[in-house]
Amino acid sequence: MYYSKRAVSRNILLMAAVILVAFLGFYAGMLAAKRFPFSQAQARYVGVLILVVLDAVFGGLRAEIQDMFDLTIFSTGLLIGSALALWLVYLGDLFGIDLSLAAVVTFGGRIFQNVSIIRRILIEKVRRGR
Amino acid sequence: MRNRWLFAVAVLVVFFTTAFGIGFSRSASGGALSRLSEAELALIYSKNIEQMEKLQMAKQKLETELRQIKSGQEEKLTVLQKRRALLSELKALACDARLNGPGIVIKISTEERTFLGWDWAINLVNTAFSAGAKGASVNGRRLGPRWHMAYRDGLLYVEGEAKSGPFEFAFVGNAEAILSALKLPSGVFDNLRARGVKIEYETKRDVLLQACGE
Repeated sequence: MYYSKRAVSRNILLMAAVILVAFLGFYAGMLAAKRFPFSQAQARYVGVLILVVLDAVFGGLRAEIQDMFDLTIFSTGLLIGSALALWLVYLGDLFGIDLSLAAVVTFGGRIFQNVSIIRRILIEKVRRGR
Repeated sequence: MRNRWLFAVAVLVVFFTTAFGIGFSRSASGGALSRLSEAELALIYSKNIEQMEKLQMAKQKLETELRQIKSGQEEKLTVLQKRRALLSELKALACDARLNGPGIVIKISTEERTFLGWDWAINLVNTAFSAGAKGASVNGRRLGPRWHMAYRDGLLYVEGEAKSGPFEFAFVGNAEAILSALKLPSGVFDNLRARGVKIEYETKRDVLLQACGE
């Protein structure tokens, strides 16, 4: 398989950016945890938010691969999904029920579903390319 | 894919959020105590209470021991002080140190032709000691534990040293008791007066006797 020089340099740049962003994210997470002391219950809010973001990103990727990506749908989905998930967790805290599980199951399932669809589409594209 | 940059951004966002979550959960210094559950906090609290009680008990025990040691030391100090006082008193009585206290000074003047026995001074001093005198001196010379005196030819030889009259006897002790003993009928004073000796005496609040050899 032949890759052009431009593609190689682009991929290297992407990898470097990924590493850099990962470090930045790790540092930001540590900083946030130190800046705002949190309890175990409060940490669930952050976890659910991360799950929502990941779900939105994978959903966006899937839509882009299927040539269906719409920025408005993506951004509103992200915002409303986050608000809904946080509200669920808050309600769970109020009533003493772990409602964050609902968000975890839903968003987790959707992430798996989206990744699965992305995988299938990419495999199909590769097969077509041959 | 229509936009490759969108894919890159998505990958970056995935890594960023993942790393953010890892960093957030790993950083424990922010609120280590607030992370604990109520049960864990209660356990720590009870353990702390237990430790505090143990420390309190140990403190009380140490304080008791300290008090005992202090009282023991005070007792030892008191005994030591008493012994030191006794030692200094014994030294003063044994003529190793100066002796002072209330007492009496007796002045005996003899004329040239007065006939006196060689032991009149011995009788006088012995009578005073019998009456409770703690120490004596003759013309400023302190009498030691092995004192000896003799009167001859108008001179009084006190432990070998000749003293000429008038003779001044100083005693430390109860002046009234000493005087009473000396004034007994046919006693020391009567015998001396019978031989024409002039006796004067004076009780004093503080009579100082030098140490032997001083």
